[in-house]
Amino acid sequence: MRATPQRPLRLRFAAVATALLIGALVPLGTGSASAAQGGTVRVATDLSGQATGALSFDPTRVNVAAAPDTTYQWLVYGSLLKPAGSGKLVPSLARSATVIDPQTIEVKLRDGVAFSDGTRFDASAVKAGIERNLAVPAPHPQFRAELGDIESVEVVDPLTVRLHLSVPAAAAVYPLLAGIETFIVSPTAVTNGTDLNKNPVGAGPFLLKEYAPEQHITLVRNAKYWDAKNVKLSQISFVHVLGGAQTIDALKSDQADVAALTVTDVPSVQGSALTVKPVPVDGSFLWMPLCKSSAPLSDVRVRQALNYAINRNEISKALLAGYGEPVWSLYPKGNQYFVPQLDGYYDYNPKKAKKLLAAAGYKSGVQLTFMPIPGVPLTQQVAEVVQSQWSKVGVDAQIVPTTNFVNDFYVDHRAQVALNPSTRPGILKVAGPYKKGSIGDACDYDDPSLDAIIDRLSTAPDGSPEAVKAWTDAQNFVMKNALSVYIAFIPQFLAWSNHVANVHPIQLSGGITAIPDYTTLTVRSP
Amino acid sequence: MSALIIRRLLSLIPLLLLVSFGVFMLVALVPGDAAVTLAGGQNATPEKIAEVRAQLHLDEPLVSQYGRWLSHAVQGDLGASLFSHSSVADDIQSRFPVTLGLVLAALVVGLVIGVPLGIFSALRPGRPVDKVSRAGTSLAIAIPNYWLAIELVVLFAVTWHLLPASGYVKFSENPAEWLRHIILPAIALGVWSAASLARQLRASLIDALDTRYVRTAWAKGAGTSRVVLKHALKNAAIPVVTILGLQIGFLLGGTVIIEQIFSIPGMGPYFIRAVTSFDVPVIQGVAIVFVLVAVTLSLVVDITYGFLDPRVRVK
Repeated sequence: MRATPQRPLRLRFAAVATALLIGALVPLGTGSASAAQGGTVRVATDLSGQATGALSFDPTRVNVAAAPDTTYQWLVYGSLLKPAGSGKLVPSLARSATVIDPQTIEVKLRDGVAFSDGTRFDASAVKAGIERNLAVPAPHPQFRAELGDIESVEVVDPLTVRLHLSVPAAAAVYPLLAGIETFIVSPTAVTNGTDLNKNPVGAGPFLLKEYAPEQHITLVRNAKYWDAKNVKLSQISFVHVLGGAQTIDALKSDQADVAALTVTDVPSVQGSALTVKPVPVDGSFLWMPLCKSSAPLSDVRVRQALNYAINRNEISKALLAGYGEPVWSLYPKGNQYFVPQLDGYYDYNPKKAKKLLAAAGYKSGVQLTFMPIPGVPLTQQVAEVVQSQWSKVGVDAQIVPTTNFVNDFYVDHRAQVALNPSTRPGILKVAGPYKKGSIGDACDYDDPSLDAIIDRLSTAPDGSPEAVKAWTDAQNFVMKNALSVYIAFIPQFLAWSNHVANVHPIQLSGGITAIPDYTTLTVRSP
Repeated sequence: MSALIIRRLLSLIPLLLLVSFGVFMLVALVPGDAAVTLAGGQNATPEKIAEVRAQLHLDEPLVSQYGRWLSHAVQGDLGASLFSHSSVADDIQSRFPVTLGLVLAALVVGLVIGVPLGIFSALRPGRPVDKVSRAGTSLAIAIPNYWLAIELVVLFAVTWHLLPASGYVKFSENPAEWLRHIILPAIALGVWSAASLARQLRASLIDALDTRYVRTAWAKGAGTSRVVLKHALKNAAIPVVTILGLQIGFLLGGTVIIEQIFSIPGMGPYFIRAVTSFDVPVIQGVAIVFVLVAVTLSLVVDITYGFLDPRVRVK
């Protein structure tokens, strides 16, 4: 016999729990939106980096290659030169920087600039800062190898320093003046033994107020910054989100005002109240390195055929939301080094591709092994489209699975063709994949005439006519010899709410992600 | 009881050895290694990779690598992350409370929803409220927590702007903000727990309500609250405690994906990043901690039986 309750049990527990929950929700939930006001911009960003450590605020103590330390350090330390649009560098803490000769760069500093602790930002401080960075044993995860070309730093006068190089590589070293390699820390803080990782002292536009690993970073305006009067924000609050859907949710839920998005995020924000702008990032493209040491890819006609057989516009439209600019030249349109003559060089032409294959002796088609990098959904999708497009001209690309892409393709050569997104800024676009000695040089390709052009690139001052000529020659060589199959530049996107204005995207030197220029960004009043 | 505790603690030693060796070998069997990434990925030279491998002792035989790790681990040193060089023990010490906080919050959700629901169902078996409750709990058990998490974010954060979509604030820094940030992940994680508890409690409470001592209590004119809470619930709680102990283990596992979705800096993202980057010391450290927690929970459940059922104490 089942027991029957004589009186029903009241809903006490449930009612109390519900009331508590609602009570907690309502008063707490309403306060969050107003935090955006008063000159604070909230940025949703991944504060964890790739591996398992906290971010570093000391340029010499960065742990991970792909971590975003550079962004925060740049805001605190500033840079001698600052990236502007079109890949150009403009004066910042330095008044000017001039390549005197292929082995000497002269940097003239602004007068009256000081670190946040009051120490003068002069030639001695710059010399001490660069020498401190030079003293870090290689390999440093984020310092580029060119830093090692600096043999000495000479103080010419209190506002002038000269970098003397051990090799004629002024053009390759010049961009480091805007990078983490030349972030200058206060010599007084170093002498006093300040832990710069926790209490960074720089001469940048902002000061570190608080850092909670994988939670938030709060920066406040540095009143001693040389251009402080033009910095409108009083505070930047970086809030931790793990990218993708979480970033979009943070923007849509008014938890953040600004965030960088990837191309696959864009469809999710189209039609919302957010402003979304594509930002071409130098060095970020989708490409297919080729193993050119043996047939059939040792034949330039086969390589050209592979290029002609790809419909880049179709790939961009279908998989890159229409934003993937086809790679005809190693730099995107609008960049000072873009080669207009190469525009549309490998426009989709399956007939020409078939003819080239036939001329190379592959009239009945050719078989290739093909290794897309794993773990990147976009790459897998593009691989399927490429397979399909190539099959129309008789190229049978058999996909080789991998769990260790770098070893399997670049070291063990387990496939003839790869497909991966790449992040190669500056001279690394050609020195990385086509000069012997780097793992990224698939199957040890080497051509003395291209090596000679790369040598010219490393000595020509950035933006100079010599650099433009050398880059034109390099890109003509790479493209006309079809050394790889380049598909599309992958733009980064910045999305922001109507709380902010004056968003000017920039790309830090050596960086792979676009960020808003926080020195010009403003917050609208409530 | 003390003998039981000592026996359980001693059994931990071979278990931890077995788990740590198994995890170490499994990681070693997976293709790929951290040295290539650390040496610069596609821009690395073979010499640099070899140098990094030698620095990290990755060029030594596996057994020797394991022996090196074990000799440090027995002294409480779980090593350092291959990437950040930070102490694994320190990292776990700072992250585990975050995860534990989420598990406890989820457990509170489970108890607050599951216990009343189980009681109401048991008091009205076969009635509409019971049918709705059973259908609801079946659905809640079937729904994946990551799907629920996404839906909660869409509703409470994106649509109504009531709660943050992601992020974390330490309880010690700001309890109110901690609560705001933990509510959605705790619900996403705890709903399954609530449903399981409700079903288990319903079944065991129905049995308890059918016993002679409960009928006697009704006959003596005791009220529903007194009969249920004082007499029936305590006996019905024994299987529920077992479920609860097991659930904490499952909830701990569930935090891996929930922390990732809500960008909570606990053990989950730490473990996922370690696995994808072959950071062996971190993987080992986390696995050891999870085993310790599972064994400790099992022990706590056994001890709790003694308090709930005097017969267990006598035995």
